[in-house]
Amino acid sequence: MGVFRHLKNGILSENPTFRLVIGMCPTLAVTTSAVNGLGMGLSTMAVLVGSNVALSAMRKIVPDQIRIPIFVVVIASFVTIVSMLLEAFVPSLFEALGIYIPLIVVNCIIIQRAEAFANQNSVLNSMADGIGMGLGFTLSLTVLGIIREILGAGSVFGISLLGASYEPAMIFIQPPGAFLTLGVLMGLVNFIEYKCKEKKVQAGEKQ
Amino acid sequence: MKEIRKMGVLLFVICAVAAALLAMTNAVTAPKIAENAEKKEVEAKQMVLPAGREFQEMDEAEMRTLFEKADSENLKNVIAVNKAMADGELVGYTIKVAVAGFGGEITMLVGIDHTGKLLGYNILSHEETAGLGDKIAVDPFYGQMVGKTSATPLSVVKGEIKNDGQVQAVTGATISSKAAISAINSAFDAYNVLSDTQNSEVN
Amino acid sequence: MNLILIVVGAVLINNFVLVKFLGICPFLGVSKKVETAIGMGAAVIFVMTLASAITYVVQYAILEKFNIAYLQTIAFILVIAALVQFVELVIKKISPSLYQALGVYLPLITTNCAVLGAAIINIQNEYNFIESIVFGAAAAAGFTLAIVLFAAIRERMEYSPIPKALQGFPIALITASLMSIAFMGFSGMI
Repeated sequence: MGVFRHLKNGILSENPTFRLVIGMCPTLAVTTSAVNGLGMGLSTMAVLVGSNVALSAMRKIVPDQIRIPIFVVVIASFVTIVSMLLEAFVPSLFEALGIYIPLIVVNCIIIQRAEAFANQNSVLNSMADGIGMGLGFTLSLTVLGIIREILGAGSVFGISLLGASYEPAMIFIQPPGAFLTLGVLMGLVNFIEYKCKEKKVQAGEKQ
Repeated sequence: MKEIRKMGVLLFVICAVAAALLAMTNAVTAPKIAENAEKKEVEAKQMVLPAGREFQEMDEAEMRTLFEKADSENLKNVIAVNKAMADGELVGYTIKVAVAGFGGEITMLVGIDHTGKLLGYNILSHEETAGLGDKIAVDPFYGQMVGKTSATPLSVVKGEIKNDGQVQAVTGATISSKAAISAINSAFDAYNVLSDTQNSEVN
Repeated sequence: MNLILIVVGAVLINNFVLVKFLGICPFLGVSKKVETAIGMGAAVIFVMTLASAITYVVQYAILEKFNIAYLQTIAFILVIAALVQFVELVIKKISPSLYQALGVYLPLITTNCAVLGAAIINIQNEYNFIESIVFGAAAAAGFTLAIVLFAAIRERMEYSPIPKALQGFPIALITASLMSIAFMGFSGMI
């Protein structure tokens, strides 16, 4: 039962992008297309699940004083492994994500989950947390990628959607578009949440 | 003291395990990565010179001395030259050129056949504005270039095309277009030098 | 000449924050006041310049020499983490007043992707030792420029009537977007 709660937690109530607002660098940098967003999300998820499981398994033997260096070594190892596998088997994605792959190491999501969750919970729960957080991150990145690709290039996952007559708003796949899309989307999420709360309050008053 | 020693050992063990794991992954992936890189290079060259089967890179020192004699500013942009061979015969050259663009350096690979005709080019890396400057890689700009010959240097125009050496610039990206043209012209110059030496050797 | 191009490129054209999206976390997190933004910027300039120099040595004197370049990520992040700790200790000893000003920002820098980013870009672009240091310092100066300007705008926004749903991060991101558009005007300078 607990496992499912952790899954849902990462996707909705503690969504890393929209709720915790962490891991912003890759979120903004690689979401120029849906494929890149998805690829980055899945790579981060692989590292997150790996490091969560490994660190949770080691949590009883690692003394507090050297916790952080050990975290860093473990996370960096997983990142390097993912990076090598991508370069060998998905070279096109490896090239598109470029420098942001090694930078997964300093993605605050990973060290934050290690510190706040894996360090205190069982291996199974930590894995669920990794998957949940990873999915939440992947989902946010893919949605951002889809919106930017539609507006900026008129396509989704490389498939032309709006036809040749659509003049793409290039700004959306350029850097300013990243900030703008995420800002507006975050505002929208807040707006919907406030509306929902208002309705709940109103319903409560009627009773 | 005992505590510290224990921590040191633990840290060492974890680092050792991590390094071993990475060395293993590296051993598995390294050959595949090298193979990918090689395949990509040949593919990039075949894209601009489909007739080529084998590509022989020219020695850099030899290339420089050859170009110095020709005394042309353009030739300084040329980074590397490959002779494209098929069945033991020279079918053309792939010439790698780097020029200054709008946002940074543009590197491209230009394919010229043995008669001096431009077969195509492939942009290897660039920092041009997405959606504007990067259109130098696609039609209609790209299409205008193919088939031009090294006999007439190219130039960029904004309006109507009046003669064979003129090419219409990408709208809103004149600087990027000019950069692309200067890269092609550099490759043409290189070709002219190369074919001259080739001919004199034959004679 | 080449060095000037590197500086202009790193500060204005390919600004670390607004174009390359490196160091977004501190950019959004510690930019509510100009004063703290300046403190953070100074700390980043200091660490990034040092880190560029040290990672250059690590790459060419150790990793490449022993043919273990695949350990780059681990080596760099450990070097940066150790460097930050070391700098913290030294500043504490030498200048308590500087420590008071920068101290709180130093631990945050370890997870600042701009520092690791600069180190990796130095290697990718095959910069030599001097170029690496100049690039590190210039990129950090670009970061400082962006964060200080941004903080000044945010200080003013405190008094603006912003719709409730946009308060906090959303409006900050939209502001950053406008700044990014302004910085795009610099491309084409070289």
